[in-house]
Amino acid sequence: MAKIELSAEMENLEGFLDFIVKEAGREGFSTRRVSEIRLAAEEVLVNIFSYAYPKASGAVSVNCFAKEDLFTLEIRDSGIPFNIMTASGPDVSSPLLERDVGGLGIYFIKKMTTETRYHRDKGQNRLTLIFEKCRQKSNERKGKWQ
Amino acid sequence: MKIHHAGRKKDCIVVGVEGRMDAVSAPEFEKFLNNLIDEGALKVVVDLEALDYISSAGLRSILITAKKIQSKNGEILIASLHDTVKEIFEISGFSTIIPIHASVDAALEST
Repeated sequence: MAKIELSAEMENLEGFLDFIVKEAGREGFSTRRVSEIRLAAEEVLVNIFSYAYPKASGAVSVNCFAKEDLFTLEIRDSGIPFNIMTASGPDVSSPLLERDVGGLGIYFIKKMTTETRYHRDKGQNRLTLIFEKCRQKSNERKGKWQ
Repeated sequence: MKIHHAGRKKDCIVVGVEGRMDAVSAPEFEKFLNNLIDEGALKVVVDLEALDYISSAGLRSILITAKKIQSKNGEILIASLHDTVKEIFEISGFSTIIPIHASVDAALEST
């Protein structure tokens, strides 16, 4: 298990993501799959940086676990209770001028992960993202998204 | 992320973007394109051959600039997507709303 904890600020985004990418790469995940993990992690972290601590600064921690063909990220913050996975996604078929891409990040998280879990626990949001080595396989298993 | 002028061909300005377009770097892209639009650019080809990664923040910046240039009757053309970046454009539906071309030359020929 490897852990990183930094304050919830945009200037720490690259630090978090580079750490996660290094850990996933070390577990033998392909460059492409590592890039998908980076994407899901960025979308979660940017959301936390933007909304979790509206009045004060706070911290975010990321734990990385690997077991067989699975890579797991456990992302915790002590901000306002929020489950990103229940937020609504975008209308990906709307015309350009009408489009609002606000929910696109959530769509990417769902698309790139094999499974997600959310718990509010001891005053913390705990979001767990699980990635299988091959995304295609896991997507087939859970069926077509939307 | 690195962004640079890659020349002017016909009435198009070609811009190249390298590296990663994420929540940290996307505002820089937006600023660069906004400056071009404010200077009167109406057709901009964005060459993403050397772009390795894009997140929703990057797509949002492309969308904002595409809307801005459309409001002046101009257009943004995206060229040379590959691998993960291409897939992100496809699954988000962006490839159906912003013209995507296989190469800068193909983008220029389409105008």
